[in-house]
Amino acid sequence: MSLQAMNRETARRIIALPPSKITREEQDLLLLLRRDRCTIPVILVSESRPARVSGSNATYSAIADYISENNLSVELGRCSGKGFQQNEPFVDVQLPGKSRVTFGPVSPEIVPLILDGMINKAIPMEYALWQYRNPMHEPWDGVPFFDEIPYFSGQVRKLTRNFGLSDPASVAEYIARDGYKAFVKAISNYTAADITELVEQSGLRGRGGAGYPTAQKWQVARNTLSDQKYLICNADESDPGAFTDKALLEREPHKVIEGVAIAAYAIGASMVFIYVNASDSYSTDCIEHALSEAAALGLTGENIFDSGFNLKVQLVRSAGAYICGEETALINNLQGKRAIPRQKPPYPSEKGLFGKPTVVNNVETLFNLPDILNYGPQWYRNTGTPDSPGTKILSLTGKLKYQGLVEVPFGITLNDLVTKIGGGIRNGKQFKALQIGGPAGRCIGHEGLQLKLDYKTFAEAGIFLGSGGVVVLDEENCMVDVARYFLRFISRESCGKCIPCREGSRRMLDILNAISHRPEQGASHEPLERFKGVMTLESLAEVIKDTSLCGLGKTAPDTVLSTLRLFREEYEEHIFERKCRAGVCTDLQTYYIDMEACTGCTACAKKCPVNAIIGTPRQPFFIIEQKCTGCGICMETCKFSAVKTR
Amino acid sequence: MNFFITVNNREIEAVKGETILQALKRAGISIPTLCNMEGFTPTGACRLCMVEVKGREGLVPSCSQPVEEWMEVKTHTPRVIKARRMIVELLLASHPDDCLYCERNCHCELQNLAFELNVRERKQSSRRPAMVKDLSSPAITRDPSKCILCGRCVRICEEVMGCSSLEFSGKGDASRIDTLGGRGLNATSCIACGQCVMVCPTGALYEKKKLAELQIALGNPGLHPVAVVDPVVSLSLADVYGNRNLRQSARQLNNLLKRCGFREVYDYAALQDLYVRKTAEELTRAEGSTIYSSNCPAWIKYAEQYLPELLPCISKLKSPSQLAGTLLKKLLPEKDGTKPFVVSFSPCTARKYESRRREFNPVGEPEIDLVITARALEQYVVLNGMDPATAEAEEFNKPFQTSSMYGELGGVSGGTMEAVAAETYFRLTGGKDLPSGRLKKVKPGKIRELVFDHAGETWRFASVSGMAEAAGFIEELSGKPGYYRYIEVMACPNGCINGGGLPILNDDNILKNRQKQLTELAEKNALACSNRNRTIDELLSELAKMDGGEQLLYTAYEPGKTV
Repeated sequence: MSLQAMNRETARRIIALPPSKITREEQDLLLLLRRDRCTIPVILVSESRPARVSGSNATYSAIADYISENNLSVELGRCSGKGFQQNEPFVDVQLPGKSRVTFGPVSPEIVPLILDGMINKAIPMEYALWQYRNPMHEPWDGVPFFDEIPYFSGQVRKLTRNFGLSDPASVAEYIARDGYKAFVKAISNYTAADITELVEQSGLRGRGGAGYPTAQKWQVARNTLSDQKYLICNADESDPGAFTDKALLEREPHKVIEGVAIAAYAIGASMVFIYVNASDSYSTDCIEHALSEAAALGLTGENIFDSGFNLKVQLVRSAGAYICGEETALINNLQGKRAIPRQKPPYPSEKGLFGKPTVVNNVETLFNLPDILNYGPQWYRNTGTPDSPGTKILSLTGKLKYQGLVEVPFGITLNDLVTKIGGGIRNGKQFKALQIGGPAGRCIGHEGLQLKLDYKTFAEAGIFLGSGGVVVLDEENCMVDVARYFLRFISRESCGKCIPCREGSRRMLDILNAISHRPEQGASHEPLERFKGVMTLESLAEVIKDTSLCGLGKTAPDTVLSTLRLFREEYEEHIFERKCRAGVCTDLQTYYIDMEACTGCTACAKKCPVNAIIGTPRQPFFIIEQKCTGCGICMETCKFSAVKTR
Repeated sequence: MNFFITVNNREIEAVKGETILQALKRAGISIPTLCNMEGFTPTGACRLCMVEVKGREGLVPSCSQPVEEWMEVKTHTPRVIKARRMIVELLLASHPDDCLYCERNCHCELQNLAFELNVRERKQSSRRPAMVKDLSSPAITRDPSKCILCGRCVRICEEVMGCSSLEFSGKGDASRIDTLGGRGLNATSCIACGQCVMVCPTGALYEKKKLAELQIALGNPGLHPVAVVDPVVSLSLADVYGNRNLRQSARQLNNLLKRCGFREVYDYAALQDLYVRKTAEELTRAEGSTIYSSNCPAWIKYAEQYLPELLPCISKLKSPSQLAGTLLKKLLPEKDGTKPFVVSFSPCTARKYESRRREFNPVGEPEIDLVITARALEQYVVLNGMDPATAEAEEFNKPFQTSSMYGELGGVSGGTMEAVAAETYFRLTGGKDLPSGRLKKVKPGKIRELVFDHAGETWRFASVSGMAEAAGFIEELSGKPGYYRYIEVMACPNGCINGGGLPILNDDNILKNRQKQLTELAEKNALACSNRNRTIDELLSELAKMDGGEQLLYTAYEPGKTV
């Protein structure tokens, strides 16, 4: 439901006044906006990147067609992503007085099936996933409740409680769910020092990766005298396997803006830059639309809600490189320069953008602020551990049964994350490792699963939580290949400024390439040479960590080091036996033709792209090893299973 | 505020606000560096200057970390040495293995680092994609395969020369230093000043020496080779040869050049005298407007590119080097059917570009046939097996034999300006010398000013060097036209004594010494003022007799495309 349902003045009244002072009509409106009440049936199609990929737009038009064909009086709308990647696209149906049911996956073909059933007040059970609990609604029989689904029951959904319920493109719906109340309360009733104090009490730590206490960072900027201070909201997430920041921008962009506004007020910044990843146009569009809505309501601009506080928020699209997310590189980029990190000190909170005190906060950090102000620091501390209060939003991906955006309290063990929320490894395979923290993170094996998610515990174990990407690997993953993948990412995405990171990561990649590829000419001392390479790998990694300029370089060798420590036998197999137990490094395999099984049908020789297979028809064929590139086409072609590998 | 910090269990004095590296340097502890440049903000890119600081987890870059009182620093522990050596090994891993054939062999900082850190084995080998040399510029060759991305050229090009012709591009393992838009250097905003060559630690940037051409020309019996030598060239070679008697050294160089096969050797300073006299003449004729100098070819290219509106204000007089070419080609009679071949020995790489400008190359008859830098001359002397110590002193040849003090000062920033002021005063007062003790520094930078009053009119002269600084100065002046009557602009900071064609000596004091030496040398000159140089009088009267003789001295500029 859009803002037309709520005019500007009503919206401003609802934000500024306590619930007791709101008129009857306005309260009715809020009930409608929150979908606590509906007069006609409501159908909501989920709108997020995974939903779009799964075809939610086709589903949406199929539903629209169905409605017009049958001439139904139905409200059709959109709701944000639910953070559950299986079974997209979702369709939520709510009949008056009955609780809201989620169906999925809903392809255009099954739209009539579901809607026919719903009109007749009978749930097509095979597609119903769950229903939402609401005391005002009568529940359906036989449909599990949302919080009974194992994937969701293991989570603590505080920050993400509205995900999948409201329309991200509607400021009215956000306001109906207590939106912007915290910000307006802050600028009208609190001083900037009060806000900092509240955040200090809550123990909020930066979610960008290092976990630096947010209030402390603010304090430095607050104590630095300057005519102008800046706040930068860092949403330039570009780790492979991480999507939390983008998800926040696209699912509740107004909450991001509210967080940004509160932080700006606390540090005394009148100018904010929201720095987003330009390669993801969907989340960028969402935040852009939200910014225009907020400006229309006077939530940004001059003299906000007559408090005297001015705020200008500008959206900046990143230059698109991974390094743009590093705060000093980001600042350089904002100044129109090449995005390369610079040496700290001075820290940005003392001397940042255009030489002025600048606070760079991660988008998830700021996302916590409205709740801290609304419900108080004590409420916030109820979740999580004393060292790391609150919850953490993670991107859970990999070989799990369930994947998606999850919100978990600090203190949860990684084992619970994998088995309870993720549902364990899919297809009955064995768990091998868990890669956490993106390219700068590390691999954690079986024994590490008992670790509790907590900044302090992680720091003691030498793990960098990074952007919150968790990739689960199973026995079909080759750890050398995983290390190689992340290293290739680093060596491409390093800014190229400092020598250890640029040359060192390239060199490490060379070594890993050498051990996962077939040698050009197999000399007898060749395995020894490759082993020497691995020895160099360790000392290289040590120097890179010791000398690199920014966080990227300092953590660049971590994935390699951790896999080398945990899965040394896999490396040794690659080196000495030229074997990849997961079968990922195909280049290591030698193909040969079994003389007994080969019928000489010539099929493989015809398909071979490099003419490596020779022979006389109706006689056994032969693969010339030197010519073979290991593509495996012959193996797929052979009908007699005569092509084998060793 | 001074305090003590502990370095290698020894107390050394440190000043608040300086970096660890500066404190270490003062205490005589040498730390290898690559990207560090005196007087620039540290970038911390090379990571060679890493030291251990107690209480810090990783190593700390001494070039950018400010000293603090609590610090306990260790500069040469096994951990530090290992890291430094590894960094050099990594650089060498993808560096071409052709030191023997490299332009910078024996003068290469990377080579020195490998030696100092005792790198004795190729432990790493890595491949970089093949890169093509950029041969397009008439003055500078760029060989990206030798580049180690220290970024010194980028910084000097942007911060000192204000050109930004070189820029980082690409990222990760594909990062490189490239020209703007990846074009050849001749198609960019490069003004050929050669400062990038001076700061490049390896053979990634080097000048086109043209020694083979010189050798062939000197061996050609159909040519009559003559040389014009800038005083800064002999001065810089005196540095190289450790020669204390500078006047003697200049005369010895004449002898060396004659031995190489030059028939005559002329003094550039005499042409500077001519240049100064003609400029003063122009100045007294002009009505109140500002005239900019034209003797620096890099400045001319800069102005054509970036300040086309200023071109009418720039003196149309040819630079002394080109004046030499024009006049020598006119004055030298063809002896026994031999053609004059004019070689200019210069501390400047931009002269190479200048000599190739279209207007100085009438069909088949270049005014200057070859420009050879001091750096190349040093090599040429070695190539021809000559021992500078055995050279006898020999005078310059006529007509450019004697020069005045001001003529000799042309190589230092402010020299031409002072000379022009003295000459103007001389002309205005009908033969009086400008009272001495004249130069005044206007700003802490490289801007200087000279003022005198004459007949109720104030004459202001200014000089500025370093292209970026000059551009800023000119922009400031846009509000007050005619405030200065004459502005001397030199592209290289401090003038030709810091030119891009000088031997690379890696000595921090070299610039100060050279400035002092040149001033002392010039002040010993018997002829104080350009006006007293009689040979110029003779030359001018001869020119006046010639048809269109005056015209020979002037040139024209055209607005160039800024890339």
